[in-house]
Amino acid sequence: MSELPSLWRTELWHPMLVHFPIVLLLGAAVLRSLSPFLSEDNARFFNRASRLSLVIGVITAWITVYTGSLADSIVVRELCDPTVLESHENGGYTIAVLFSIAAVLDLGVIKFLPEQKQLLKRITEWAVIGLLLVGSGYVAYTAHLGASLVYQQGAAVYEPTAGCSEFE
Amino acid sequence: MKILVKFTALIALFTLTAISCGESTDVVDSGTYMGTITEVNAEETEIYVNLESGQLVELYFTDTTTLSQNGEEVPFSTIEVDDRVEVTLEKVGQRLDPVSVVLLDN
Repeated sequence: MSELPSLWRTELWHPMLVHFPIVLLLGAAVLRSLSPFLSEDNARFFNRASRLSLVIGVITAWITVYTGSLADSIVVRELCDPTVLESHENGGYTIAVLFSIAAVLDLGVIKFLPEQKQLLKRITEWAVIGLLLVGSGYVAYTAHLGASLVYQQGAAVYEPTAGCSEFE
Repeated sequence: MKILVKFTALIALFTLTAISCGESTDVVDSGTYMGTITEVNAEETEIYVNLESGQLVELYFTDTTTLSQNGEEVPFSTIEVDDRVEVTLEKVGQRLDPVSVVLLDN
């Protein structure tokens, strides 16, 4: 009788973690994009919430990239179209880099820029919004590729035996 | 104003670099090809081969892949970057399985 494989196997760490950066980074982008249209008080709150989501999102994004590279080496031999995995991997790196740049600009430049540099501050704020929106597009595209890998190619998916004997 | 232009250019440069980063490999038909090894990943028994046609293929050794040099089987650790090789590939879906890899004299 075959044995049911563990849910803690290495290639499953990636799907367990990947939803954190998806939610946090998209959340950061939505909050930051809305802030220019809000009153000063509300905008300040939205910016803080966005900044927190962005920082935690970037950290989890890099952890997800790492767990993805671990899963890659395990599942790639089983796939019928590994080029999808390659695009997914490249998309993941791009997301992590784009949002990291946004986080550095947000934390480093906007926070510590002297008050008199208003124009530079404003441009940086819009650059952050731009990076978050472009990054969000990449999140959608890369997530779509990830779904394709799982639901069309069965990446890391265990196929039960015909008689389901391992569940008895 | 100059600083502003430089700053904007720098952000655009970083963004474009991020977007364009990442390796892109090709898929070719089943057959035998000559090429040069550009990258070796011993841990994953994986090689990248730049074919004479200019295409780059990523190959993961399978349990049945044979590796030889001068007619004798050699271990994976023999492979080095810039080695000239003759690879016989089988295209399975969009995956390339190396059937045999022959190390040629440089």
